[in-house]
Amino acid sequence: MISAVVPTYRGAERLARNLPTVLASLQSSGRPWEVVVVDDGGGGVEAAWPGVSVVHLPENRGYGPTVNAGAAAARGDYLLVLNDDVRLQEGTVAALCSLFPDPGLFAAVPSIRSPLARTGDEAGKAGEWAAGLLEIRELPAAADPRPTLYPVGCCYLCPSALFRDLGGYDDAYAPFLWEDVDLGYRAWRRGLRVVHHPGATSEHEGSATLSEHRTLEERERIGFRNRVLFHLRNLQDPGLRAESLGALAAFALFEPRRERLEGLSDALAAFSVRGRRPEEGLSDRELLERCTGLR
Amino acid sequence: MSEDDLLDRVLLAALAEGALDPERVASFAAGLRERAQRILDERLKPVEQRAAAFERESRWKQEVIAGIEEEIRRLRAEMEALGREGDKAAQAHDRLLAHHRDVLRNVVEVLDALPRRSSAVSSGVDRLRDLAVALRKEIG
Repeated sequence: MISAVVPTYRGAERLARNLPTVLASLQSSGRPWEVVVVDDGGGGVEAAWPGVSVVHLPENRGYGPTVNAGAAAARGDYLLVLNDDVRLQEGTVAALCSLFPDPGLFAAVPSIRSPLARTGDEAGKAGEWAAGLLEIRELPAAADPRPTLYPVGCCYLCPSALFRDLGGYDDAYAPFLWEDVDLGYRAWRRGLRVVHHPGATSEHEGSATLSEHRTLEERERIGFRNRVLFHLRNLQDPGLRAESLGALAAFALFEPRRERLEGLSDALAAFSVRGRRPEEGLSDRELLERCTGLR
Repeated sequence: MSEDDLLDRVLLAALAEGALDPERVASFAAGLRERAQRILDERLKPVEQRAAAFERESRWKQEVIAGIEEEIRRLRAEMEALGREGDKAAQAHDRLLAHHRDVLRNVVEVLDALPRRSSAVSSGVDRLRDLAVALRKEIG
């Protein structure tokens, strides 16, 4: 069974616009399915379609915790994680399913056509280690499935057991941004793969929830906080950590943007509470080479 | 939160992690140097863009000024050419005027020299003489 998990915040109109395409794609896959819409404390969302249930969170918790709540309620063997502003083509779910079962595969990401993407496809991501930080760039278009750094949070399919085994999204990144990079990095660390499947297609209206409810300054501050936190939480290689801390010192010394300095401060505070992840699996250098030929 | 506080916190974290230990301090310094370069490049970019825009505008203004100067040179040349044409026309006019005066003087002399024959002829000659005198006055 496939469980589509759709986090939403005041997204009744977006769901009305987009969810029917998800239902059609699920139905077309020929597999049993359910849809778990998770209302992230915004209210106004009802189970208006057959096969769709709604989990109501009492308060706004952000993207990661909301998806985790949906995954906890889901009954399927596979999770189809979707933003409420994503539309699927009829064959999208079937095309993603065709890559499973594969014991080494954590997640399959369709092409995500988006106005946010410079290449037109938001899904293919490469990482480059540069000047003490992991820099993420979009991969150029491709015809065949290929590795990608992380399952972009707006649309991917993964086995529910692996999602839970990895611990789902780390709520340290709440309310949003970098939780998907973190999840993908942890999957690669375990020796699992994340694949971008250009043969499956989706369309993304473009971070509608973020842009409607958060200012640019808030997004910059939170995004930078989480970018820093990702490095502090995940890097295990002592040399890479030292480089990364050097880079953070450079931000403290020279960064002119207030939002970034506040984000750095927030990240240091969060790190002092959350700490580093335990060492396990592939080294950072092996991992980076394996997922995108980094470094 | 001051930048100094923030730097202290980063350095304390680096110290706690051993990033400033002798075997890792080179990595720390590399991260600091390379990232600082990127941040400073990014800070410089708007200044460079403004300088480039200013240079483009300045070049454009110079081109406009050069165009105007060229136009002035062309107009001056045109005025000089027109002046020369005017001089030539004035000279030609003067020559023609002198010729007309000579002709009229000759006419008056011829008419004065004519014997009086009949009163009809005489009055015709008088009218011609008056006309000649009037024309001479008219053309100076």
